[in-house]
Amino acid sequence: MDDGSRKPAMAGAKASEKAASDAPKGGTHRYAPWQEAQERVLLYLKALGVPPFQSLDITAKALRSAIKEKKKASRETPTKLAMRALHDILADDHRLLDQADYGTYPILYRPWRTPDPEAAKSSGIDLEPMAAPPIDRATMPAKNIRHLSLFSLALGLIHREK
Amino acid sequence: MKNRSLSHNRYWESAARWRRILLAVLILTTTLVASGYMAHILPHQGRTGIEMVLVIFFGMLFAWISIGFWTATLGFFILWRRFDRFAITNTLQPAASGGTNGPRTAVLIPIYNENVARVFAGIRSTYLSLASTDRSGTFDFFVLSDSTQPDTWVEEEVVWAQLCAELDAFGRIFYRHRRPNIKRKSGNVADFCRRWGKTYRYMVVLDADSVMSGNTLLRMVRLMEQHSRVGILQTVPMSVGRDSLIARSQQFASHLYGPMFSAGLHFWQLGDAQYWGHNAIIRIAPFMAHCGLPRLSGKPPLGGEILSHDFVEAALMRGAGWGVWLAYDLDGSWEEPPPTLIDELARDRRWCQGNIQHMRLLLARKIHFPHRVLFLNGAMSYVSALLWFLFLSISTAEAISQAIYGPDYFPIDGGLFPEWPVWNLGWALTLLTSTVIVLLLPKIFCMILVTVKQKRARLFGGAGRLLLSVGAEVALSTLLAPLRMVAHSKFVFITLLGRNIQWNPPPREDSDTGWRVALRFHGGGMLLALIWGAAVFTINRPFFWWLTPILIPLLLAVPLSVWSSRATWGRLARRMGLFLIPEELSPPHELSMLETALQTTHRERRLFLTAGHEWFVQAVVDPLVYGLHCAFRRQRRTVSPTIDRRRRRIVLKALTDGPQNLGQAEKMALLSDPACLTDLHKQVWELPGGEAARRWGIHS
Repeated sequence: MDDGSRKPAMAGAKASEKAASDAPKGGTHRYAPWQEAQERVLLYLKALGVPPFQSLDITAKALRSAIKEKKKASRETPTKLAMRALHDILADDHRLLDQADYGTYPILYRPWRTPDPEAAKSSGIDLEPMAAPPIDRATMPAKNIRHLSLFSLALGLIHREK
Repeated sequence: MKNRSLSHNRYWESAARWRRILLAVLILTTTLVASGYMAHILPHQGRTGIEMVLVIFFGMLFAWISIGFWTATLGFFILWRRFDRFAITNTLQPAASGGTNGPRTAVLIPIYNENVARVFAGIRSTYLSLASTDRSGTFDFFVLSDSTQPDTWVEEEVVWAQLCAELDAFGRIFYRHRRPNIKRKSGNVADFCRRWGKTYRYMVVLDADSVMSGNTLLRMVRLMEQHSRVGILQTVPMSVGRDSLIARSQQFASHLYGPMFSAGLHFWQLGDAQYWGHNAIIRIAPFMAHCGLPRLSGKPPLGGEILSHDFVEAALMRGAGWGVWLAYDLDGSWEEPPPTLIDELARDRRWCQGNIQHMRLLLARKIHFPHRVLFLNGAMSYVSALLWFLFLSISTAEAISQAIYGPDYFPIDGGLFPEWPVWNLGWALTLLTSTVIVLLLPKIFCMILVTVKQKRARLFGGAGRLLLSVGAEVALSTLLAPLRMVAHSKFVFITLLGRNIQWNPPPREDSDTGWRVALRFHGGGMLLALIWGAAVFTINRPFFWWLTPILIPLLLAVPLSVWSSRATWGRLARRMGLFLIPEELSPPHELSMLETALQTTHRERRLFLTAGHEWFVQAVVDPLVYGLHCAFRRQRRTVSPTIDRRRRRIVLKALTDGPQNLGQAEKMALLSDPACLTDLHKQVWELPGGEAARRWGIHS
């Protein structure tokens, strides 16, 4: 690995350690829920295709935010608080997903980048045409099929219908 | 000029009239002669009531097979001459070189709960073939899904995204899912027309199993451009891609007999041809103006939505003055046959109901006479089976009556002199031979054409193998004919009784029929044959031997159905050089690409991490699949508080009970509501580790 990629990774690891040190003190079993929260956030970021070094950074931020919430005497589990924090972080900074593995396919990241369709319109991000082109509505009325009498059918055989 | 002439209806309409008169004369003459023979071989020469009924039924059946015979014979002469002044492809002018300016064309692939991998492999193949031409820029592909199964829906979206990513085709291949699948396929296409029809001049409609070559698509567009009064141009798709014995036999028949029959159909249809629902190009503006299908009054099966929409759309298009042409010699158009006899009959069940429903339109206004005949012809495809069955039943009743009560010397009431019934065996054998000739001669014509004139026998494995394959195909189709007769008779009967069908998509891969399935499907026919055979054998043994070609296949229906469905038998036939087709010996690039794509679909998916779980679970859990699914939903429609409360309850149920305990409707409700899906997605990821999370595939 070259230095360029090692530095953010190391920074991420340090941030993660710092977040762990901010976590509630006590025996190892006290950390278990936070361990689970960390793993859940990392798994989510991995599923999103976020690069590992960036994942650690974001995870640290999410855990720190979750710890703050917990200190406000929240009764929610660390996993829930961390995941909520993660969603807030991703919603606040759309550029976080720019480095994701599939960042070239913005259609996959629309819920985080443009969670509100109205906001998408105003921000000028137009992802819809990737799935379907703009609608150019027209009408196609159902035909009103009326029946001929047998007499007119016979007549039609002799004189072709126009 | 020829192309101008074809654009002007009067030019070909006059020729079509004379050709149809010729065909009618040929059919009537042969039918009258054969019916006369039939009357003479009966004991009282057709003068009793029951004999008259027999002769009438025989006449109708003979007329039916004569249509096929004369159509094939006329096709034989056209292909032998190698010139058809009305063949639309003869008018094809060379393409202008380079440039991407041209009419915009949409390639539509309407799908409904299909095998997703197969559908997208076909699209990939057609897309790549088109991309290799210099005019692909004017084509857009639309996958129009009516799928009602949640897993299929999500899988379609994912595979669409993967395909677009692989081919860099975002903005060229589009996907739209329609939740209420009103009017099924015709409604699906009409929905496309209403949304995007104004953007395109033409649409090429493909089936889920269709593949077309890029060059063929370009040629079709050029032909439509040259002939401004052609509304629909239908190609003749060749059957390919299956391994089961019955499917390979049908692929062989489609390749050997198909071109000759199509040329014959073109001879008398000209600009009044049929639209077969796929592998055809349609001029969108007149289609939108004239081909919107109404609901028929009354309930299904004869009322309600029009099932076989294609024939009706062709009739309406033609009724509005636009030509419907069959490009019978345009290659590069493929489809897949049903893999088993039971699948084929399930398809026939739908077609039967649809074609009988057309009788409601027989007297509709603004429909040209040839299309009324085509409606009748379509219905006769299945009603003829019932007529055949009734003919055999009445013959049996007459034979049994003769054996029990003895000869009737005074068959006509009030007759003064006795009549001695005469069984004319020689005439009976002549009639039997003539019927066999009418059925088999077209196949011999095809062999002669391919071997002598076209010198293409090597594409079927050589002249010897071609002959053997025809023999095997005749044997197989003879054995299966009584099974089809009983099934089609049943379909007609229950349609007339008013029983509707459930629409299920046909299978898109080889799957052997199980013995139990076959017994359930053919058991009734076997029992019927057993009772029928035992009664005739006991009462009138000479007549029994005449019935054996019908009774033996019916008694063997279960093994015939099972064995003919087996891909191993089909492959064995291939190794023996039977039923070879040109596409197997020298696969075109499009079919090779299709095969490769199908073989690679089982590889690990690159884009998504939760592969291996149900697709619905992936849409809830995998952020990318969830993200993709939400991207398709524009915005949440305002729903009533009751619906909102119901959906919230489903979210709660999903969280507490897991995905396994959700029904199809509940899953569809969640997938259709982006707000609920978002809530569920977030809450699933917030579940504490353990059983609840593991049910959703989260292992942390």
